[in-house]
Amino acid sequence: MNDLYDPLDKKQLLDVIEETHHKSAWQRFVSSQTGMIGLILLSILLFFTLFGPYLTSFTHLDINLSNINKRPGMTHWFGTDDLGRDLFTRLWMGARISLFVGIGAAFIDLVVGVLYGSLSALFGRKVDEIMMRFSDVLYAVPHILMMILFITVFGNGLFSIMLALTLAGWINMARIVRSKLLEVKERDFVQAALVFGSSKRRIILKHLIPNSVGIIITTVTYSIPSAIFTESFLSFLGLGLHPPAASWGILISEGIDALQYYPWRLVFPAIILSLTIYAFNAIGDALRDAFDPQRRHAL
Amino acid sequence: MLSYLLKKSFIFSLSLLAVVTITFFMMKAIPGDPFINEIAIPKEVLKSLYKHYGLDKPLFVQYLKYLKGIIHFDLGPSLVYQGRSVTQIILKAFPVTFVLGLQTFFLSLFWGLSLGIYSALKKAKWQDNTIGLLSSIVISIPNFLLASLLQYLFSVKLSLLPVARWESFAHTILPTLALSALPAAYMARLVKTSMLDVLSQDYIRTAYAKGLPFRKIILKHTLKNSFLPVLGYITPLITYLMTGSFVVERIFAIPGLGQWMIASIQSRDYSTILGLVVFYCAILLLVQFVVDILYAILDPRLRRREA
Repeated sequence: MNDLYDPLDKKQLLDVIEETHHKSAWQRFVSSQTGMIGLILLSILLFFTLFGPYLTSFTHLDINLSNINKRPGMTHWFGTDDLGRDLFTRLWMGARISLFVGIGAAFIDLVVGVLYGSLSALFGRKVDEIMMRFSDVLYAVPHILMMILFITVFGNGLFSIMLALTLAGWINMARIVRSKLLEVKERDFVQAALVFGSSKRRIILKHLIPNSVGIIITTVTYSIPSAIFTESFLSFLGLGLHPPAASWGILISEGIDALQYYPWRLVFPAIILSLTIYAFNAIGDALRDAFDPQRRHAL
Repeated sequence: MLSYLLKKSFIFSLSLLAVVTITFFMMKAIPGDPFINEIAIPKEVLKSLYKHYGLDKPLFVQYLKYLKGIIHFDLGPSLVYQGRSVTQIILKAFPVTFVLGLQTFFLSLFWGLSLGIYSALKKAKWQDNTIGLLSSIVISIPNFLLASLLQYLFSVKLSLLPVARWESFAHTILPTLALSALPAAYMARLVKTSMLDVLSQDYIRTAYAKGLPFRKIILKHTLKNSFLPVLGYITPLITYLMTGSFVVERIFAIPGLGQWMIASIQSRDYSTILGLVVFYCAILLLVQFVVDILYAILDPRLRRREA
């Protein structure tokens, strides 16, 4: 009789259950076609982001006025721009900026959002009410206006833009984390663990965190492409980084001006940007389905 | 219902006040002002300029004066365009953006609903897969890129439609198309998911079981109930139309609010930026307010829980 309630056994049992849950989420992700396409695309993009600029003999700032607007060819794989700069190199240097801004913004969203959301959910009652009202009011302000104001006040440096992107992003994360935690807190197995006498610490570590990891990872995956999008949007309006920096937004808006006569200057950055967004979204979709199989069955 | 309304209007006014306050003090925190530029202005002139625009008073007095102005729809004078008030600018530019937004709204609603319903009915068949693929492609393309490509293809290459400006209905076609692609794709996904969700409910199975024809089930039971998530998308859609108009108005040279917003940021016309931000937020909060009320009408559970 005593063995049945041996704490070690119970712990092992719980670990096994949780492990299988995660294993199957991973397996579901691997077996999904869109997820794998996204992952492969993203790996290729990351490879070129890291090594692309070293594959050519040019830097992204080398100006060569005798070599302007060259078609894509053997020396300049993606052609050159109106200052004779090599577009291939510029594109992958731009990838560094855009991905850095996107991933950085998503990471700040993650930290602030998870902290805020879980504090709100765990304290509950009055604290929860006040924290959520505060974020509701902030959320009501159009995000893009907040960003524009922020950039007008703090300038358009790399970090100022990254911070501007997170002004509204964290609220979404906080809301999702909070509602997920509140939902898990009420589930039968948490109540059962409470009855078994598990400590608060154990419940948080063993039940609340593992059960919300899925939705957090999914939300982060979605917020990266949206940050990249917004950065390119700001650059297009002339509110983002300034040339000669080479973020994708800058390359595309320069490319649009040159569309009629030098279409390759738009085509390459546009395709790479869209592929990146597609890859992140595809991975996000696959993760969402993998962590929430019920939803997939419904579809 | 009344207490629900009261609560929502309280949140509405509080949010608006917060927006005005945050924006006002942020604009005041920017170092320098539009009068300080390359040309040196004599001290006396500067002083009288400050006096004219009320900038010599303490910050809090300026803030109170601004709040008082808002109640009378007076957003103060533009600091860059002399003799023009921000209210005049809005009155002139808003109708243009409004027409563009309205056309886009209905076009994307039409495409989103019909594609979404269609792909839910053809679930996992080639029609559904094609729509799914198309919408993920559209979602991956920035709208300024799409707008430029449409303009290049239909105006520059094929000369079918006017390149830019805002004069006749033909001028509105391309901007509307460019702006509506993304929300249509989002909405198609949303409608499909929510429709499939409704179709798997018990009451639909009951309807089948009692022998109701398929047409009737879709029309009577499914459509109405799958609209609720679409209602939730209206506020993000209006926000998107607003920010999207920044880009599209710029590409097609449309004299709307978005153009003014960008122009006033570039010329550091703080009072116009402030006025436009307040105006935009007021509109969005108003939309949110109406949507909340619509929700309560459509879903009685909500108003009971929130009241």
